[in-house]
Amino acid sequence: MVLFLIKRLVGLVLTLLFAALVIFLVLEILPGDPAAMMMGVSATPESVAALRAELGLDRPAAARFLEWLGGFFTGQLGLSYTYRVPVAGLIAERLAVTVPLSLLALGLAVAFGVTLGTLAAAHAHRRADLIIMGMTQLGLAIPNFWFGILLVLVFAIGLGWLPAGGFPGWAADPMLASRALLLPAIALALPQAASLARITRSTMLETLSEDYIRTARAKGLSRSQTIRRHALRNALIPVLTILGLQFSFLLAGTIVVENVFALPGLGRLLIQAIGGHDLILIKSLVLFYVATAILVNGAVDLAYGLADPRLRVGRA
Amino acid sequence: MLSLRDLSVSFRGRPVLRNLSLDLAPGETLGLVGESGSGKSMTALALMGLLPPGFVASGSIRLDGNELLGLADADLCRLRGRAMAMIFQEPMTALNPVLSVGAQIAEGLVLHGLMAPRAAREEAIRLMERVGLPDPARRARSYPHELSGGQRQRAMIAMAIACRPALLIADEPTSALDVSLQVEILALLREIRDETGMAMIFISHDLSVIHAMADRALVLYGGLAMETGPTRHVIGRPSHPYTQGLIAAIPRGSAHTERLRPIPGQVPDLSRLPPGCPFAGRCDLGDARCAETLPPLRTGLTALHCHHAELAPA
Repeated sequence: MVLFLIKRLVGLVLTLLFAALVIFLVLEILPGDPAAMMMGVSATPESVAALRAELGLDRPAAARFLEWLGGFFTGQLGLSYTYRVPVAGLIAERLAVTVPLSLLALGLAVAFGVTLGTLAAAHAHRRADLIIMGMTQLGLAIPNFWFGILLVLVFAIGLGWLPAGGFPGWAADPMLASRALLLPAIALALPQAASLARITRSTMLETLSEDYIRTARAKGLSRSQTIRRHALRNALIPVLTILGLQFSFLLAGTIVVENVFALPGLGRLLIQAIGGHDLILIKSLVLFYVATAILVNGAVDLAYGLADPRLRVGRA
Repeated sequence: MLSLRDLSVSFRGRPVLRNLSLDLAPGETLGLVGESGSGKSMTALALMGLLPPGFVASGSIRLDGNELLGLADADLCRLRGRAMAMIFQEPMTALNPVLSVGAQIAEGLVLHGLMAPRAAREEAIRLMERVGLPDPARRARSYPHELSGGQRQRAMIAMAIACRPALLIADEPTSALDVSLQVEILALLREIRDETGMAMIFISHDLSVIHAMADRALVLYGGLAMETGPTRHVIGRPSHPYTQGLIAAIPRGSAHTERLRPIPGQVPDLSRLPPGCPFAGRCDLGDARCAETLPPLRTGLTALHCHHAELAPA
């Protein structure tokens, strides 16, 4: 078990290092001098050179790469060119929006996806199944941003139940802040819930044809008891893998949805950083996204062992 | 206690089991013999009310006087596991891989309102001891993949007898096991049957297993009961050409001097059965009448469906 964990951990670190290297190299090769961008068109070559020196851009690439990596441990990720504040603080501040948003969306997606998928499997090839599967087709086909705008039109502008966008901050009014996250979370959860429902339906159908389901029925369990007590956990083991992969799509979705709803989150920061050629901010942000995706998938691997006793190692 | 009258099962209008009638008394064991695809398992599943989707049963199944066919699933659920229980062929796949063995054995006791969860847990350990699982307290917390095939089948038996059913259906319970284990499991089933006085339907393709277990034997072929009667007569003095062929095909001790006599031809596809006797195409006595009209039930020493067979006198 310990050996297994160490292997996974080494794998994680190597993947992250490789990702960091690729991000760094791509941004090195891209044209555009950040110092020149910051100074504007009227800057003299001398003042640009001075700024380059101040930002450390004149030092060799290898040294800057190592310094950047070290920054992830010390929290010294440098100054954002455009915001003129430390990158680490900027990311931390924006996480207060993106983390709750992603978790809320993930929760909604799992709750609706698994429930609807199970319902569809239980009524396979009958009306409820056809309706649910039709809805999931629609959910997969509708783009996030369009659905977000639709939600705003109906629930914010039409009915006036929820705010149309913006974020008041947690400190001012936590209730108001959570309300501001609800519509974006729904927009974000829609395609995830749709694909989870489809996957759950197919793994559930497969599970329901297993011998131990018949054993459970022979014991006297009703169909729905059998699904809840015997089938669900088995059916969700493969769904877990997909969930890990989907989390990356969910993160990508936050970039779009935060912009639609004008939420000051990580995704919006990334778009602004790209717009402002804020290279130091971009590379740290991108690496942060990569790290999150890799860590979530690592966590899924571990969760496997909890869900499936056959994968637990080192037990008699 | 169990009484079947003209039980038929069909799939999309095609018969897979035809007009099966039988009676079973408490403590009695009926052996269902037949090749694969003869309708043995379909009979068992029809009794449990667990036929796969698309299969329709007709006729009558009475358990302790109550008609089971046409009963709502909720009512059948009260009987399954409680009044009648079933052991399946594949111990490898018939247990839920993510639940502990003890929990799976205790589940029925709680479900049928016989015990509180804690008491059921303790009863599960007692049952595991009864079926001969070593170190039952620890094994109860094990998962199916941590048990050997024989141990899993013992766990299946513990699960089936937990609620002391009046009828136990064992569908090829030893076919997936090594021969030495087979003997142990059969002995265990006999012991439990004699202890509890439950009736048993024992399904096997193996005549020697049926001989060891059953008071009466019923030979199925192509969904039709070919011959039925006391096991010693069905196996010792069979009248039906199919049963005779089946017994002639058993390898005997003197393998060097005697040639095996396989039955020529193949088991008919259940979806394309002739209207008459399903064995007609492979039978030495078979003629045009056999293939066209279903043979009537005739009774001598044993009861059989055949136009031609000479009956041994009762």
